[in-house]
Amino acid sequence: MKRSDCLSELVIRSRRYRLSDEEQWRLQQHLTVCSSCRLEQHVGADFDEICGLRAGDDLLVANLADKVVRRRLGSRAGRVRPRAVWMAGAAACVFFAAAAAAGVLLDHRAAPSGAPVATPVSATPAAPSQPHVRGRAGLAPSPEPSAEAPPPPEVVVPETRRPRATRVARVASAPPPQLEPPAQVDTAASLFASANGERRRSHPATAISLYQELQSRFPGTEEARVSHVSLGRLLLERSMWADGLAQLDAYLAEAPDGMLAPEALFARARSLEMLGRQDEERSQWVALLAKFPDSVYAAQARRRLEAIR
Amino acid sequence: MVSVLPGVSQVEEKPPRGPRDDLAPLASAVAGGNPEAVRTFVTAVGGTVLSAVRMVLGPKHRDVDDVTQDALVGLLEALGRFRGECTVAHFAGRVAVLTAMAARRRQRTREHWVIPAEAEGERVAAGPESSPLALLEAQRRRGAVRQLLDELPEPIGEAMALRFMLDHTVEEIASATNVSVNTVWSRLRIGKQRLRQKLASDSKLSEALSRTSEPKR
Repeated sequence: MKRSDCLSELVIRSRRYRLSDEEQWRLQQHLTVCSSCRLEQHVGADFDEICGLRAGDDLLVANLADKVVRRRLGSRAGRVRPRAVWMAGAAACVFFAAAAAAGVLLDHRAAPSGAPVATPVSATPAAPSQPHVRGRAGLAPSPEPSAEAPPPPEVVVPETRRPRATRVARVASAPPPQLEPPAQVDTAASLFASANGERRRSHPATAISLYQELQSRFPGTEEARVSHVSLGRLLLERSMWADGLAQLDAYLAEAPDGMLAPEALFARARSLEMLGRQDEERSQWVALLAKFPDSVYAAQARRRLEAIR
Repeated sequence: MVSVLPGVSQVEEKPPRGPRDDLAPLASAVAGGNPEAVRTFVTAVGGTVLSAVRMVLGPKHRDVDDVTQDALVGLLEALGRFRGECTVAHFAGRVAVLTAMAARRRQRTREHWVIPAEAEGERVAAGPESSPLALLEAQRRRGAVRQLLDELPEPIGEAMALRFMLDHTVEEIASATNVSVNTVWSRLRIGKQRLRQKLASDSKLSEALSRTSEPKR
């Protein structure tokens, strides 16, 4: 492939746009002599034939968006920071060391007096609660210390930990609260999510009624606006042509350059194709190509325009 | 598009270095950690990513959903490193192509050792001018290109996929992959050479190519 005289970029342009007559003629001439461009044009057209997207993909994308957001949130929540691990390890070391020291000192002080030790303190993992609690005398109930045993050495507990221990103790002693389920409050977002969920679960009738409820209760919200496309497509799938087209029109009127405008135009064009209203269909495809020449529907629009030319 | 997300327009934007890009503010918001922007962004680029994955894996491949999900997660992570050398859509397409190519390679290894290869089905709407033979030939050529992607070195395979499947111009490939235009030309030349050899080994496909000089559309 020689760059200087090769028209392979024109091949790419022919896959994206409609070439001018002059460009088309140049390309045709070139293709007869350049096997490289012929290969590119031919194989490229093979891939253009399989439209990467198909009906119902908006649901698939919405579903994937849910999963991706969940995965992202999950990974953030589950991410353990190295500093936090280090701090937790250090705190645990201090805690167990203090517990062990308390145990040793307790044994050491109790032994010379000859008094019986009712509760020997060990440095096993079960023991740490003892010095921990004693260090907070008055904050939590004491775990039955021996009357004869001398008071254990006070374990210094950082001031900042105290409120937490107090809260723990309070929670432990308080009766379990009777939690009432909170009243369900519908918002535009929750209605939209419910409608999308019903749609994904293949319950179109419920989804339609939820979308309609969303539009009537929360007009002017972003969710209501986007729902025009979802509801429009649902209605069109159920052959409710006039209502479906009206929904798409409503979206295009509110957001002519909106995120879902290519989808709305595409759905309109396909519906008009089904209805056999070829002139309107043609103008719809032309509008789609004019406004969104790089959209994923552009190749299909061009093919259809060629077919009904 | 930006109006979907309140507050997105307040995100500080870098001065545009490439072509105007409607998705750039949304991408900046995602990279800046705006949680509300994530879903909007994923919904906006989801179609592009899904389409690219289908092109590389095949439309009815069993892993399309999973690979698309992986590509979207990878895209969100990569956005922090995105410097606006190309459009966000092209960047998303590239991430999708690379993820799908990696998935194909993994699958190939798995099939080699464990699971026998499954026939890849395709369902293509037949146009009025399409004959069953033409459809079959097109399907085999697509299969040959996908197989070639597994065999080529990744940079060449990537350039070929962006060119043949996502119809990128050489400049677009260069900006998306951060290499010079000359490098892209060179990669495409090698890739096309290998593709020609591959198709030549199938007499029917090479015959179909040599007899066609008219555009298909």
